[in-house]
Amino acid sequence: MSPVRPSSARSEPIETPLKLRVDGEHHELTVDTRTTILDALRDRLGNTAAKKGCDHGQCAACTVLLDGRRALTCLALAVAHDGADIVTAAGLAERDDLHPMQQAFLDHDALQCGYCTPGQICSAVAMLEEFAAGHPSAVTAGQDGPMELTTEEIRERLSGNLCRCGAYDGIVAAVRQVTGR
Amino acid sequence: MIPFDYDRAVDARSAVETVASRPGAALLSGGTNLVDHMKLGLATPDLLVDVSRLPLDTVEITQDGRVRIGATVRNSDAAAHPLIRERYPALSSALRTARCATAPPTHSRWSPWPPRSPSRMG
Repeated sequence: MSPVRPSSARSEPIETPLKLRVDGEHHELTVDTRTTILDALRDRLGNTAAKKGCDHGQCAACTVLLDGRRALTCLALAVAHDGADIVTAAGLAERDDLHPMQQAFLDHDALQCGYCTPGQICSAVAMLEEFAAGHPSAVTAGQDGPMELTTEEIRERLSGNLCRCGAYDGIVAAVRQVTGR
Repeated sequence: MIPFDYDRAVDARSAVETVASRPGAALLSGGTNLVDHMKLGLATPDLLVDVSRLPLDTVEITQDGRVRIGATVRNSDAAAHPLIRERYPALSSALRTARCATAPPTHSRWSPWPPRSPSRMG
């Protein structure tokens, strides 16, 4: 059943020009205003690093770094992010040199099917920056004093990224490797 | 999702006036709920007025000594803000355990139940 439309609603797509920088490359494109960043990346720019899992902001397989912060691209309208700088999991590597987080995921078998992995890696990279910036989490003890990136902290801070294969132990181990623990 | 026009607000007043005067218009900020509801057909705006870039992203002390949280401050930023952590620790704690699905997912939609923090959600 189609949704009820206001009488003033148009049925024709409304398009808008847009600039995005994705993994260091500048792109100019015209998109339907309804296009999410995820669909723009995958369907328009051919960048399939970010994955479409639930498409409702619940699984985080679509996580990228959006202007330096982790973001769910399935709920972000591209038109609202004109001019954004996007880094996907594919853009974290320097040519053939893997990002330390990517290498750590390999070292610890932090995946099975791999579908959630690009989102996990982007989320983990941003999470470490948030931690370094002093952002507390739900399990951060107390309000004062230095925080410690315990296993419990890592699990909490990455708990928005689901892995249906259950590779969580490897993911935590990978993050711990990057933090030198 | 039905097609919609998109308008980036230049200031809060005009954004409010636009949305108040045009049936079918809706304010867009983070989009967490609105975009999801639009995908489900629960919301069918034909105009989105985007307020996310308005300069409303600060936490500051007002003249009468209270704290004002700007309308576009993210939950995670409010939770981390020194003023909120120092003066409103319960609010900071609540925001950290809020069931927020979107980025940055520093707090979990999928936290264990009951929450490990002392404050249970009602």
